[in-house]
Amino acid sequence: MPLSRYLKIYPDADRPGHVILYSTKKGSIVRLPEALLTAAADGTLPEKHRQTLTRLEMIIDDPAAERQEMTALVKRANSRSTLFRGTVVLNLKCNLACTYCYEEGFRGNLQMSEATARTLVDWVVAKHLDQGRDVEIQFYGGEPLLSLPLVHRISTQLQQAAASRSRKFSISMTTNATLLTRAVVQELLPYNFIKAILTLDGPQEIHDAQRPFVSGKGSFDAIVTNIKAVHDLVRIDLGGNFTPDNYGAFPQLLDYLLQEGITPDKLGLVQFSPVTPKSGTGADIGSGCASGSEPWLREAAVLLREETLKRGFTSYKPTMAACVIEFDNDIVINYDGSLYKCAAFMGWPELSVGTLEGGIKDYSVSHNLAVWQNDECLDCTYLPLCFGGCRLNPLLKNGSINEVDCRREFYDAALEQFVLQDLARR
Amino acid sequence: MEHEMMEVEVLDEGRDESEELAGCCNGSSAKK
Repeated sequence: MPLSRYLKIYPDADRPGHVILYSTKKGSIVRLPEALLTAAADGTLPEKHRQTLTRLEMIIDDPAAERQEMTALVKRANSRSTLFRGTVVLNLKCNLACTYCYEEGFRGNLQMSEATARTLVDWVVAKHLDQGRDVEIQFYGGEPLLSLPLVHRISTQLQQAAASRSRKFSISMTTNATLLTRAVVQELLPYNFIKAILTLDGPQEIHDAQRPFVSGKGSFDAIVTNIKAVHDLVRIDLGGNFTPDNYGAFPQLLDYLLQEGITPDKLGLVQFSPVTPKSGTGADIGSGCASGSEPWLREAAVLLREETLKRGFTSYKPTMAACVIEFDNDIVINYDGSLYKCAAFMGWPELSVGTLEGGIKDYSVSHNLAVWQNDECLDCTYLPLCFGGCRLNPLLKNGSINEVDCRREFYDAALEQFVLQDLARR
Repeated sequence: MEHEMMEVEVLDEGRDESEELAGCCNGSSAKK
């Protein structure tokens, strides 16, 4: 039985003569003597070990079938999906003036109308609840809490519709958190408010320079105050946007949070990521990171994950994942009722996939859904972690989704470190 | 040592069969 092509083999620094095997497909990890690896490769592995490595998807029956399975995986996930995730862009206005905001080119005093909100509710009921799916609404903006009455209206109606059909309903929110007070969270809890995604861009000096209020005043203190006020009510996932020049200072933020009593048990996922260029045709991609494989990014990702885990916070774990545009039941509903497959695509109106009124058109060509279904990707060890990577990156670089966002160099440099980081904390 | 006597140490069982393919959102989750 051959080894899976989706398998990484790393030397085991702690045990000479041993190797660590990591399945990028299953996420399984084993340690074994090099002699057993040789036996696995030449088919002379004892039965008990063969069974273990087969269960962990490290050795397989048929390489062609394994490759075919990967080709069909997204389709299978779509056919099994019972959850609709709708990102609802309530407005495109904001009380912050972040220096790197990707919405800069198209934001303004724009808010979803009552009529569009009604159409949205009817659409979700007809297209998803009535089709037997559960519903999660992810409120988004702009700043969604500038449209709190709309959050209530949409959530109340969809929650009632879901309950009458015995379907589950929940809400989450990507918010700058300046308005996320305890009173607001308490208002939203009855809608099954499962998660708020917030942003702190490193220590106060960096954050306040990158994420000031429209007035110019820093927003750091207001956000930290609100995290302290709400962390016991709703899960808080913390993000932060770094640049090549400032990522090294981000661990100071983690120390500050600990010092302020915002300990790991009070936060969900903590994940920092690079500033991306502003969306839209003609955007200056020099203003941010438009590739998953830039050398500095590998260093930053390994360092910040280690510093996060070291302090006891939860960081992301490499797992089998694909770009959200691949998922039939994930959609972005813009304030005007136009539909997109990714919120960052709103800067390209030509990438709208339809409207609430007119329905969704075929976007398989415009979004190049099969971009990763080529020999190079299907034979790549990292395909399960990548499936073509982030489609925003080729769009920013080339103006269209004409190639994959190849992560090979990134994973070649960083994945072993991620695996070792997790093993060190078993 | 005979292969039978050697050990495969399972350090992580990995994903559960029931876990579906995750969605990855690099582009927009908090970058605005």
